[in-house]
Amino acid sequence: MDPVWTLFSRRTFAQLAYWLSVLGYNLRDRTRTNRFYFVYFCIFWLIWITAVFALLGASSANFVRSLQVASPSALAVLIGVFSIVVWSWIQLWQATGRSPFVFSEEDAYLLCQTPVSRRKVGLAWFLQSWIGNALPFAAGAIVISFTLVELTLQHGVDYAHLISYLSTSLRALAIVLPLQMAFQAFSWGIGALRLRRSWRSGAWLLGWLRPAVFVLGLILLVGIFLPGLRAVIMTLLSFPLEAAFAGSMTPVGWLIRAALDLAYLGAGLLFLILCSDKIHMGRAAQETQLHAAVQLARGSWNFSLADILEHRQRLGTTHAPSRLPARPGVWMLIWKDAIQSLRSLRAGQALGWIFVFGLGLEIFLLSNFPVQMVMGALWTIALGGLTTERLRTDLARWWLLRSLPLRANDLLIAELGLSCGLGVLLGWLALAVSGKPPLLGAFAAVLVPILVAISALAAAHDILSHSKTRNLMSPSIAEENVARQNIEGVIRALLSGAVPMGMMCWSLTHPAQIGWALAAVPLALMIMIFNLRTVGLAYRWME
Amino acid sequence: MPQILQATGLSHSYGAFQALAPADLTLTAGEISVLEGPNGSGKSTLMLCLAGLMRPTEGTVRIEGYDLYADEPEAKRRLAFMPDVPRFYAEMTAWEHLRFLALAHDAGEGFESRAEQLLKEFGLWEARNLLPHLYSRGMSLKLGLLFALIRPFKVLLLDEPTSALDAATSRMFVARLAALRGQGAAILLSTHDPDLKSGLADRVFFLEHGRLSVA
Repeated sequence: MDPVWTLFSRRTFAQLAYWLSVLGYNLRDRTRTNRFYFVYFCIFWLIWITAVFALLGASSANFVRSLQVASPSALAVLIGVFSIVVWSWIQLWQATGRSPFVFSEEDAYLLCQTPVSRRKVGLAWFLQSWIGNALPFAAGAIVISFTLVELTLQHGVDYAHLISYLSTSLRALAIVLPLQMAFQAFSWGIGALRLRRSWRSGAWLLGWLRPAVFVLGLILLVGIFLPGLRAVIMTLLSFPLEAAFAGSMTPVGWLIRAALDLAYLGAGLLFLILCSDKIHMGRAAQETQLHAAVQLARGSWNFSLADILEHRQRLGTTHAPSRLPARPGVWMLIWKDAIQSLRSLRAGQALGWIFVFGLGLEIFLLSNFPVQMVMGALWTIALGGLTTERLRTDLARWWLLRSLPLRANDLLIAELGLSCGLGVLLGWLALAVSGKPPLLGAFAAVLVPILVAISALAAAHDILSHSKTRNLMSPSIAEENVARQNIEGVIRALLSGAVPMGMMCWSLTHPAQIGWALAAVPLALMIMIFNLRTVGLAYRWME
Repeated sequence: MPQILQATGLSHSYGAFQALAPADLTLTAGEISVLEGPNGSGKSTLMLCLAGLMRPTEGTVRIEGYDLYADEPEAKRRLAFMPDVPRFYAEMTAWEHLRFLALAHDAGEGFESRAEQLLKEFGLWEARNLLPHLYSRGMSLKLGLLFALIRPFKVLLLDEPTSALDAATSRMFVARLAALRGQGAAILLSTHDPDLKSGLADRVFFLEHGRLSVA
């Protein structure tokens, strides 16, 4: 057998075996009882999947009914066109920036150096990727089909309608999947074109691929508002998609649309095969090795490793020396934290802080004491996780951190300082937005930094008390070995913060009893100092 | 020559398992000591305890009279340690790491010229702005060693320092250690490399099943 197809079949089999084992079936077990079990396994999952899709179909049918859509099948076609256009554009954009053919480190050494047929590699890698990409489209097509059947039923569902559900779904799948495959093949063909080795006559074109895709995106966006352009885009795609979702259609009409669908698929695959004859696999491997490692980590549910790899990918390779001003001693930890924060800034982090701000706002705006306390608890937990992120990454470099000639408390304050500062600013902002009376606001403003510190220190204590030097110094991926805040830490944080937080919230809901807020300040300070002391001990006494 | 590092009754247990039986050890200024022993004999545990990275179950470590845990900043100012697998901050370049460590140890004066000289000597000058996760193992070890050399110290602890170095760098490294010995540093090397032992060792400690002895 051809080596490329051998590799393809082995990998596909391994992937299939993995997902079947996740669902509860061992593909490698060849015993007779396992074969009987396979029949049961198929029936069980078929019923389960049908039930889930029927449920989703029923919910979306109710939603469509509430919208009072004149023609649900036209809406289904529109959704299909929109999904395929947006998804294809994203695929095209990615393919013009990085090779769509993803090669792992093993592929780079074992496959990319060999004179195997590039066309076969192109096609095999495409098919492997298509299986994963097609699943959401298949699920979407089935849900839409179930919805359309559900809308035609007047008296609820019974077993007699099962055939109708299945036949409508199969009809939709027969159209949607080839169409999605055609567009993916076309995008991959463009990606293959970019990777062509020694394509001198068309080299000038390659530089324009990405801008051209960007312009195409703009045209598609503008097309929403221009009826003429929209009609052209819609006709090209809606015509075959009508065969998937349109209710009444003659067999000839359906066949013509299906034939056009297959023509798209044929053209897409032909384009891919023609373009992939001279792909530079070494370059593709160079572009995608890290991406392959991320995919592998995600595939094996190791999300923290995937995050670390993606973080490295985003960081790039070099940086000019930072121009941030530096002061000797413990200030260098702030300097380091600032560099790390600036270089690893991403939208996901901002969402966490926005969440904290939102919770803070609710604490100050709500007038219901129990709900305020629930929000306060969530605020404490969220803040604990965010403020200790830097400490966790630094613990992974234990030999550097612990070698510094700094007092434990100074070091911990510097480690938590920047993120706690941000937490305090957001707390104050929420307080300012809530517009509390001046005296009450002043007490709350004093309490906010102390409560932030209490949350951060409780989380830090939990992390430090669960960390072990041996693990932190382990030669595997360091971040993997650092403990996370767990339930003990959450309980500790909630217990530490509950009383002062409660006293503050009580004053906020009962402005006449401002004495509670006043009394909360020294109490919170005492708890904060106690937490700082225990964190320092946990750091110094780490085994 | 004065005794710079004095460990007294140092022991460490992982739960019920005693990795290091109570041991006394001294490191003298201007002397290179080699720690050897089979895998799993407790060498790394001893190094981590001496470096102040792992709290010993029993015993004390004093560096020039400063207790490693009670007077931590003063003791650590005099102590440098490099593990067998050094790890770096993913977001900072080699140059920034050196600056961070030099200034954190209050050794910022003349940093730029000192860093340039060291980076050139160890062949890392061209890679100074590279993020360290792209470094090879040998480059990582060299950079780890530079972290010690960029600031003053009295005691240098090195865990398997030459395991991934090429022949030329190993020779340069040996010459460096000999020079540091001449400057009065007390050095402890944990190594399996017989050449390193025969070429440098003034004293050899042997560790087996957690029991330390002088060979």
